[in-house]
Amino acid sequence: MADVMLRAYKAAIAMEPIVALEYYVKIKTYKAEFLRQVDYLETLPPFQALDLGALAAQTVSARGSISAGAANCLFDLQGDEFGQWRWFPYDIFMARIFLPAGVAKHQLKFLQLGIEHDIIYRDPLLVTTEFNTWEDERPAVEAMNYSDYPLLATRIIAMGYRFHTVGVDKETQNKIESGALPCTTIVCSGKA
Amino acid sequence: METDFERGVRRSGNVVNLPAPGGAAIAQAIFQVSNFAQQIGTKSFIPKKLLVRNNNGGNCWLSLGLGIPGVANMPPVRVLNMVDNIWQEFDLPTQEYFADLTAFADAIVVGSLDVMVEVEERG
Repeated sequence: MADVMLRAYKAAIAMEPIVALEYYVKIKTYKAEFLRQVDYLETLPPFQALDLGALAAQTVSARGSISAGAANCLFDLQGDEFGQWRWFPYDIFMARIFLPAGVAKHQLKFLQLGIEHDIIYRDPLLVTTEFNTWEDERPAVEAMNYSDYPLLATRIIAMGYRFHTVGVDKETQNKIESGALPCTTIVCSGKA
Repeated sequence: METDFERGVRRSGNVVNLPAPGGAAIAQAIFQVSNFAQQIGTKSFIPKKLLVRNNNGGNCWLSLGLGIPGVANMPPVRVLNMVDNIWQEFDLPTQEYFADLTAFADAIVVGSLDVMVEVEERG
């Protein structure tokens, strides 16, 4: 276990921002889409984004960050900001993620895939965990303790970038939509 | 090559003296979990090295556990009299603690134990 946070930082160093300063982006959430321009970005080094608390053997936790409110949802961003995240379960459990709380990520028709602690060893850059969020359309996480032993904490480590954006005028919007200006689409949710 | 200690994930507790007469009632914290109010996240730790000096306390058992009085949560280790007793990472189960780690000797008539633990701090 000794190297887990060292691995997390290596993953963070290897992570590149999805867009650069001044880039145009099309933000797509589960309910809307709009054009923005990035005017500021900064890194978010690995940190504990969520601790769903103690969890008995062979149980699934409540979905974190719905009822617990803003104090428990450290993925939340300020207005006009979107985030680019990679993450992994820090303790030995399986996590299922929702964005926003009612929309499952990594969802097949009959199966929602989980992400285990071991992913930091198998996917050292955490590429397969990446997702984006818009403002405080918060992701929610369920923790599953599949073992026969209780856990005293279920912690999520997240890292990435936050991007502040500003609106674009109508003339620029027309240029983007006609293809005269490049634009990167940022999908901030799956579809319900 | 840098060591775990240099990376900052290994820390040592203080030298703690466990006096006679021993017993769970006088268990003492040998490593205190970091719980500063403004730290980000929950810290925990895993003992990686245990050094015990037996000061004429006679051969005895040393228990590691939680709380005062101590509640042992792994099998006690046998501490021989008048020698340095050392357990390293490969001798100790990976037991993670989210509260202060306490230790106590079983009944010893005289003498004392000096105990020091090195841990890997997580979180």
